[in-house]
Amino acid sequence: MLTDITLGQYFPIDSVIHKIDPRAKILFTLFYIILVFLADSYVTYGLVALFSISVVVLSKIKFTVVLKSLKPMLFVIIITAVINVFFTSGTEILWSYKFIKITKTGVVNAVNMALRLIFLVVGSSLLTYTTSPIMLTDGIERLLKPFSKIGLPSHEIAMMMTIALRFIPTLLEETEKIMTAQKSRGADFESGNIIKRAKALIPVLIPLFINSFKRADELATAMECRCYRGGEGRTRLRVLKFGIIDLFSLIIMLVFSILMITFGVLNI
Amino acid sequence: MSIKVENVSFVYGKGTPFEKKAVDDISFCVKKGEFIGLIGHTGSGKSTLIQMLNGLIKPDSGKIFINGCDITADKVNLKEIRSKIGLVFQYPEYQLFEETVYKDIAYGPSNFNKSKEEIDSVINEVISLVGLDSSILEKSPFELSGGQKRRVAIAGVLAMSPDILILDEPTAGLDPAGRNDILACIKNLHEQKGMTVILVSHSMEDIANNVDKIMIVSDAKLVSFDYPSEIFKDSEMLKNIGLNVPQVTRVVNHLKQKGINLGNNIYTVEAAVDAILKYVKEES
Repeated sequence: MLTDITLGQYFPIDSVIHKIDPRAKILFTLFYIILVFLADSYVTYGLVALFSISVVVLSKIKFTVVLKSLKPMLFVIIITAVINVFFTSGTEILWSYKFIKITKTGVVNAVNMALRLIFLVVGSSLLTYTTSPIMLTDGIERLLKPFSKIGLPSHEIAMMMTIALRFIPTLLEETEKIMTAQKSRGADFESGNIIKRAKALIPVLIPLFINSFKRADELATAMECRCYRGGEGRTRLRVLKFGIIDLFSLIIMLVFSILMITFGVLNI
Repeated sequence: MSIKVENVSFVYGKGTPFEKKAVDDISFCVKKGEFIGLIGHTGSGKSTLIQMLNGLIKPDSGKIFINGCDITADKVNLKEIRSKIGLVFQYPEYQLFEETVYKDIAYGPSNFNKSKEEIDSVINEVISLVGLDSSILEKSPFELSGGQKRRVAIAGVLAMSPDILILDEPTAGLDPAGRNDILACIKNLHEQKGMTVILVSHSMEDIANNVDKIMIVSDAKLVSFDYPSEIFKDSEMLKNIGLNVPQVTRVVNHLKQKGINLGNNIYTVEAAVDAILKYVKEES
């Protein structure tokens, strides 16, 4: 049921991609997103596809899992494509009926947008699939460190993210528990119109909120008891080091970027 | 109301790396009016098993009959079954949500379309059944003490007037007084209203003091389903699956090893007191 959500889940597998430094992985993902937007021809799309597929293969994550991550985005992708098909003006008209026109640029745009969105979702879900939440927030904290000079609380942001990520499974579990309990008191979450269904969720949401506040309070006390006082002067258990895998991944990323940019500039 | 379970199995997360067998080919039969104790380790499949009994979890294979009606069949009216089988979850006080105790207890019966008058009378009945004063009805459930909350939550289930009551560790986290109150209330329901009760517990003492028969679940399998006298005879078997006989039975067994034979089948404090008095009398 609720636990079927794969977006943002981490799969603990032993692979090369898993071993890349989280800082590098986050930066590479950002880079990858920019590069995906540069793609606009068969060659460049082919290159992006080749790159993405090789990363998936290297990460040892099943293709079905990756495809599953597209499921929640499918609606957005389809809507974007449809809007592009019908609302792009162009000279070369492929098909028209009364005021509806489908132009060649429209179709091309639609395919472009759909492909881009697919690659974006695949790329960013690979980041969370292959990086444990702790590593991810560690990486983010390190990357935000330079901004702490201008007053950005990088450690606090990372800590909040860690805690939020840590409690997602707990909250899901608890939601399910409360739902089953209310179901056994005759609650019905599956039938009725949207307003009725939203109302049926009240007996689930109120206890969930109350328990969350209580838990947050307890957690804060527990952290204070262990002398937590923010990021200042705090050392860490795992010190991130730049290793050989990171060097390789950097080279591959550079080659990929150069290829994409040259093809883009040359308009191939 | 009788319960009949036939070769029921259930696997969590089928086809994922997190696959886990929770219930493995379990069959048993509970007659109307019986008081059953269900014991087993954390993760042994107890909770899954009891959730199957009112259709919250559908078994992968096997059949469950409640009063002869197969609840695993398609198109069965689960809502009706749920009103007949009251399920009190672990820490039920976390499900309280309404502004007042009255409204919270009324949630169950109003889901089953009971009339206002019916709800009124049933609430007055259950609030005294769980040993609370009716002045509590207008209070917010969140300002009550832990034990009171627990009782309100149990009242919320009782208000559906179930024929079978299943309780998952109803005494967990309560102080001894609260514990005894809850257990006395459950015993009372069983004796006076003839309710079929299934009590899940970790405490051998709670089980030994109350139930007619004991069901032991270990590693997703039903290990034993028998009278307490039979179950507590075999303390080795219980130890092997990480459980134990009640404290007082352990004392009696120790005494036996030291040459003081008080007899068999002693698993409540009362029985032990009687046996010791009898022994002392005979010796002198």
